[in-house]
Amino acid sequence: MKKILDFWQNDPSLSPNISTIHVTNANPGHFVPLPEKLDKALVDALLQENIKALYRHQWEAIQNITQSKHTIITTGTASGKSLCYLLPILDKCLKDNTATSLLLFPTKALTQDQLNTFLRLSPSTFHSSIAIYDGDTPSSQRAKIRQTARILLSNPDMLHTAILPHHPNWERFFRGLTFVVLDEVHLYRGVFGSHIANLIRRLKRVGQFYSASPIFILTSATVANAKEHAENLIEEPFQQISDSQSPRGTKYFLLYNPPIVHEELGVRRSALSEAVRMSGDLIVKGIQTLLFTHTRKNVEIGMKLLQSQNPDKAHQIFAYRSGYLPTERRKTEEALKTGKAKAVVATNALELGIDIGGMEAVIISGYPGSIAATHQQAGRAGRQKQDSLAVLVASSNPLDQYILKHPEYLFENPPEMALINPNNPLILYQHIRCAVFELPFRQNDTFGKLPWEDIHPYLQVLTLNREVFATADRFIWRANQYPSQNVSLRSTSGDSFLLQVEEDDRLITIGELDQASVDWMAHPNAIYLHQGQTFIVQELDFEKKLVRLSSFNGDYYTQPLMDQTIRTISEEKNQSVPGGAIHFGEIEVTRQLKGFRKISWLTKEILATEELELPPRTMRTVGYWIELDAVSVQKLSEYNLWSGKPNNYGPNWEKQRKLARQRDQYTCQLCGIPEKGTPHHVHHKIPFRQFPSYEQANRLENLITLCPVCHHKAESVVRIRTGLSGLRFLLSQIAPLFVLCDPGDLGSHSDPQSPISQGNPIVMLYDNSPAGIGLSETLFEKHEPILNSALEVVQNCPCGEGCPSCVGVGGENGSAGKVEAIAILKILNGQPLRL
Amino acid sequence: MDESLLSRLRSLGVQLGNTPFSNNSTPKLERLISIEKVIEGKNYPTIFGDIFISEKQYPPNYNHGIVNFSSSVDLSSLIAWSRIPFESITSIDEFVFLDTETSGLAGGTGTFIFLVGLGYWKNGQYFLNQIFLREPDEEPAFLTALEEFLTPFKILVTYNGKSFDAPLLNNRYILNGFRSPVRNLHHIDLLSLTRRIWRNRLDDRSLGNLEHEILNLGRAEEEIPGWMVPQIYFEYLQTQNATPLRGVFYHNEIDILSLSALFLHLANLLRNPLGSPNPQSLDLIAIARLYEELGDYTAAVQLYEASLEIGLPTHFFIQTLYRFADLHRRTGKIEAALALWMKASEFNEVDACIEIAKFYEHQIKAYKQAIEWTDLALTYLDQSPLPRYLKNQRRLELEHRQQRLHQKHNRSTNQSKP
Repeated sequence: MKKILDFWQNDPSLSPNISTIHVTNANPGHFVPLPEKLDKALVDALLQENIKALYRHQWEAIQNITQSKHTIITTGTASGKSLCYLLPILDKCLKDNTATSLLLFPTKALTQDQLNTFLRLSPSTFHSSIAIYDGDTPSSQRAKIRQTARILLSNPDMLHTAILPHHPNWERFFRGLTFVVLDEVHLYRGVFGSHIANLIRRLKRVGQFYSASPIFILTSATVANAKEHAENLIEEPFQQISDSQSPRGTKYFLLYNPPIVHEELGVRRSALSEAVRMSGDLIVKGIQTLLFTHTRKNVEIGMKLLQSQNPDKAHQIFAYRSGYLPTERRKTEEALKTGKAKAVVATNALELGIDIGGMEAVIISGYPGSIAATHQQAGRAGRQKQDSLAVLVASSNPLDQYILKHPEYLFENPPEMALINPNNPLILYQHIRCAVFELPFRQNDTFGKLPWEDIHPYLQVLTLNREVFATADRFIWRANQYPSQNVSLRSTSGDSFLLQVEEDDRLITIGELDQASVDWMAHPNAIYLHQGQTFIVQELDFEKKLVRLSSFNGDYYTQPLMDQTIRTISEEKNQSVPGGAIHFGEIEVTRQLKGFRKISWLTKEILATEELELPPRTMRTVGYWIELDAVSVQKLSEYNLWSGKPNNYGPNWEKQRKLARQRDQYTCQLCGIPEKGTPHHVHHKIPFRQFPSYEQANRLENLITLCPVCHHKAESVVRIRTGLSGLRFLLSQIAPLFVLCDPGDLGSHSDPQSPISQGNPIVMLYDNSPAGIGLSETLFEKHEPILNSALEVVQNCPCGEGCPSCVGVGGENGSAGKVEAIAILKILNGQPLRL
Repeated sequence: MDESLLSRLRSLGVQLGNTPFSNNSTPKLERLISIEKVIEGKNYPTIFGDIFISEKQYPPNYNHGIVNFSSSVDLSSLIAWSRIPFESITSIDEFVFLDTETSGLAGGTGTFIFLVGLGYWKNGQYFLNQIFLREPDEEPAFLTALEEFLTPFKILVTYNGKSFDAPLLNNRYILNGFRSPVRNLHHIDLLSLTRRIWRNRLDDRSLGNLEHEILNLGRAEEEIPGWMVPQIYFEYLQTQNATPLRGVFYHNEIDILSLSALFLHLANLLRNPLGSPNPQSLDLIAIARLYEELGDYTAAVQLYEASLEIGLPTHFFIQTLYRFADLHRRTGKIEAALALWMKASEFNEVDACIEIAKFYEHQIKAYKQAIEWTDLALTYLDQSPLPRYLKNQRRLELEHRQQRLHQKHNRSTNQSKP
């Protein structure tokens, strides 16, 4: 590992770009002997596996669990988290032959992996009592599992649709239920997490019916509020185990910033191409490498690049992402384990604890969007005690650049919080339906921590909707269907679309897409990438939930164009801040996909823009918005008046200017004042820069005569508009640092004359899911640190007039508005504007 | 009522049905018609309160379609099929015929039973009891009554009850904190038997269709289709007008009578398949298979012979030749099997030719004949409508066989020369 580091540090084209080398020293670990009271058979099985001692943190976790305390374990990757629950569960089950345990894993692959661990560590006489119960379990085995399983490995969806609605079949299992394990709970956040919290309410309710009150054991990646998150999910007090005492090799973590290739625009070389180059170096040196990238599209591009740069190893380079069929994925996992794969380009689909053996190196192309995910991906390197390497290659994204300047966020305590909102009315409504189906509600029943007063209205709505029937003393299920079948835990609504390709007169399903992304990724004529192959969307069928693809040989890709309007429903909180006020409340967002752009693979230039006719979609959710007051607008326009620099409008400008004034009869077209001595100004309706040539920009249709006062107003609106849209870009990129979410979980909006604030300018961030999941509200609470970070990012950015690392390029008016965004941020941070 | 939550959910996109919401769900008093006024019955006391029960007794010599309820019946074959120990059963009086009407057809914990019908014979006479849930809150009394009514019986007979009625009953007992009495009973689900016997002849093996096709019976106008039952019950709960429930009671009654009649009919058919004036050859081959599985080869042989004699559609005829030949082969009557394969070979059957070739090769070591039959198999294979890849695969096998036979043939002729 040292060798490759030296190699890079001696490479002048590489070494200046390494901004941080963070070394985690090897740790011999802190061992304690196995607990004395363990079951004899279990101790034998452990010794068989050569486990003679525990890490200190494992011992502590086991102490907590055996004392019946709900426990969350947040020690890092490869710290032996599973043993923390495995031992107490097996010990209990071996000593008490009625005790049962339920383990829920977020993915099927993880479940399979854990089964093997359980089997290895338990005496063979107990093997028949351990079973997986998921969608792949053959129905011929299910009855036996229901009757005999003591340790059940499953997933939340299965608990939701198959176990809870049939709980009497599981009577024995529920009566003995002693432990419930939820693995990787940092994934149970947002919409998914809010569903899980309600699923747990249902599980506890059914458990209670059978007099069971199990101990919950959770594991999670590092987030700022792990204990609080566990308490929100389970609604019980938790103990946290976070100090890892497992032995590990030296770990080198490099932060790498691709060189600037265009000073003026601040454009850096693409993270992906740098990551591919570094992966190539590693492959050549025989180091097995995992290359992580964000998007499914980038996996395909990355694999193509890596293969073409290393043609002799091309057959040992694989791709891995969601959307591939499980068999393809298992094949790649196997190739990693056996070493047949030298490199795998993957999305976070591989981030979870699936056992693929120890990677020597992990390259992460672009900050994965959260600190938790970064550590999970980097943690793939260096299982066992060997030295390992992880590299984060920054993209031009503001958050990447911010993290590179603040490595302490990555290596010390992270600010990210996992958020859920179990009481989101939509989600709660769906789970109360499921809960009534499972057991009737009686007066004064509770649902988790929700008192009767809060659930009674839902039962009344359901009664009116004839799904529930109110008897003299109970609410019972009435509708002729299973409610849980139509409730997806992964989204607030909707199911997935199948992707089908016609091949030899047969339709072949190559993957699936969720409802939320189907518009954007698979609108008619969209270019869709799968396993390095390019497809064009022939048809998007909303009724049959099908996307029909055919293969495509063109040299462009597509980018969707969206139209958005926002209206407020109710304002729940507001607070004045320097320069204006901030608000939080319920909003309605209407979005419509208006068309798409075709963009050249090679030159990135826009080849064409095409229109689409898709229905608008309305969503009711919650948002946080910043409003600038009139004084600030005044300050900004004064400031802007002097800060602009004259534009060179081309050789025909003088002539066109005269013609425009003549056409407008030398009168201001806004206030009607005629010229008096000095000529009026001539204004570009659509800003000059947005046109490829001066001839087009200076066409008379685009010009209007304005008096200096009106021109100033018009200009400042344009400039504020630009500043706001730059700020909107910046905030939507920075905000995920404070709430653990994907950038797509937040929507954004800006308007220089917003109807929702009596014409004052606003910038808004909102929860991108119906009724929201608490992101905006937390952003409202964290307004100050977010704005501080935003100002710091944009001020420290070396670019000229805005770049993807700060306010973006070419906002909505052709100018990114860096200067304007800085001015707005200064006002909002209470700093003076210097003219 | 919380109007704001309702409108909030609506605006969030929850589909809250088209039924107009009204708050006056309290029934109008003049329309109150209780179940006692619609169905003749009585209150049956339990420790959880009274429950409504209707009792009916059918006249001696009652006929349900073509089945007479008083004729004597030999249950031995049907019981042998069910694999219930025969010694434990002494008379038909130990069977109870059960069917439920439920609040929904989906099953699971959210579905409950509001009407259960029990049919049984006592001293040669047929009885029907129907236990009814006037209000969902009466469930403990309902289940207690049902348990008491089930006590005298040893065997439960249902139609599709193994996957529907029995699990549902178990659920209801568990959900009310009781032990399910269903688990103490042997259970015969006639659906699995009718599927086997009529799989060749009838596409629709629902009880309703069997009633029509086998029992030769039609239902009266009161009949309401099964899928409407839940709806009618909830309307009754809402309006407290029991009148439309008459149709549900009727539906349940006929289901149980048909189930009982079908049971008698099947018992007779299995015991004496050739006894009816007009035996159906397709039914006979299905029953023959059943006997084969039960190890009663004599009966099976008799039925195969009879069905071939009566005549079968070509596809089933050939299938039966093979099956029958296979039975002979397994019981050591290889010559009898050969005759059947010969018969099948007349239909250009590749497999028959192969079997005959095997016979000549292994049984009497007549390699020349074996080669001829293999040649014939190859010819038939070329004519067969099999997909190309399957043909190729089979041709390879046959050519391999051919090669081996030629070797054996040459060796035997060489050996016999000196």
